[in-house]
Amino acid sequence: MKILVCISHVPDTTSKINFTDNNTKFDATGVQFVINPYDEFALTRAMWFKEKQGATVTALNVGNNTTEPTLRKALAIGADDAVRINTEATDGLSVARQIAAYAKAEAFDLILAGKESSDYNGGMVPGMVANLLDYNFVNACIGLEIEGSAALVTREFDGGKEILQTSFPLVIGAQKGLVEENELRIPNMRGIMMARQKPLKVIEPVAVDPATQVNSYEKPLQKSACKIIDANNLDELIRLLHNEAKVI
Amino acid sequence: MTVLVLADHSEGKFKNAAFELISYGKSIADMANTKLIVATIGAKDISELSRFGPDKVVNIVNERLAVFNAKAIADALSQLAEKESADIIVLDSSNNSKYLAPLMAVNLNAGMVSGAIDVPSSLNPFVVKRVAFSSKAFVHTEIKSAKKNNLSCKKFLRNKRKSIKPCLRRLFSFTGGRRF
Repeated sequence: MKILVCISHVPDTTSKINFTDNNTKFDATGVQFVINPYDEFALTRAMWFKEKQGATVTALNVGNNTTEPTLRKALAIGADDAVRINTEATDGLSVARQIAAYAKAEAFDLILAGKESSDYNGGMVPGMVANLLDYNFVNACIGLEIEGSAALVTREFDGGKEILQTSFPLVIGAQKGLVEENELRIPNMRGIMMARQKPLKVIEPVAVDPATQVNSYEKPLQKSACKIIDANNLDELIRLLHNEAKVI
Repeated sequence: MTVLVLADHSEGKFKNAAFELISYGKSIADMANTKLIVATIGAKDISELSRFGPDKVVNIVNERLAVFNAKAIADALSQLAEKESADIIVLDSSNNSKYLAPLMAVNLNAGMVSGAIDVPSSLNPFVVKRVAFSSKAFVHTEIKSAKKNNLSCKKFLRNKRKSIKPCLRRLFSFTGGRRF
């Protein structure tokens, strides 16, 4: 079985977010980048299929050369090889088109991707890839088993979960629960050394027009200090709710 | 050009998010001076949807759609969007909608934004504010016209359900009682 794991290169969720150029560009200064946490669930599950069922695992990223350390980490975790599509990831649809173009040529049986990235939270790439390739698709997966030519997928929906049986080729939108957090792998020294020897192929993108663009960024307003109003001073409470909070 | 909103229901009962979403769609339709169409799948009683001002309610009834099947529903909604010349499509941010939206976006060759928290700040260019970086920032995203031979330009907007109420409240205070 050939598995493709799509890897996003995202700021660590503990990083402080700042913007430059009059809030039109993300400021990467001092930001630690990591594998998107949802993609890490997908990669860890792919490793399980590699070790138990002999699958081959390719890690793929759409991005410029600054994303290579993240791909190397995926290799250190155990991916067999890695591919970087050499273009900025600016828009979900164009990223999906890049992934679909590569995956179509390579005929993967299973494509795993996080259900969304933790930076732009778009949640669109796995579904778009599936539709572009006309593959089966299950989103928000919290369980995946393979039995012969069938996949048993557990999906979460609002208020419950359901188990679906589907066939390959298949695209999965992974989320927390696909593997337990304590199963996530930290690359060991041997893995890091081996990752240096593994192939990381850089391919040029297909021509795609982005469907969206970021015009500017904005940070939420700082929360104001809590005001304590005496229980007997209802007039003041009403005045503040009306004039300051503007909720009545 | 019309605005299309999907009103989701659970076992025949419409969720509050569906009504909020219709109000949100109505405000965009008013901004664009166009019609609002509400679509729902296999609802038994659609009368309560009319209270929120849509110009038309379409109830799609089909045996294949009786059980949630993302591909089939996305295809049905995409066909409806084409038929009604919907340029702006609004879904909530339930897990099912997150499943449907990217499928529809590809079907319609539409730009897509998720997590919108306000009405568009501009319709031409179409710019909408959305959450990003796990709610540590907002992004003002422009949805550019997607090109395809026989398709009109589509803009695709998926709303973030949890953010609708604060958004309502803010607009209420700024616009002197106008609800969207």
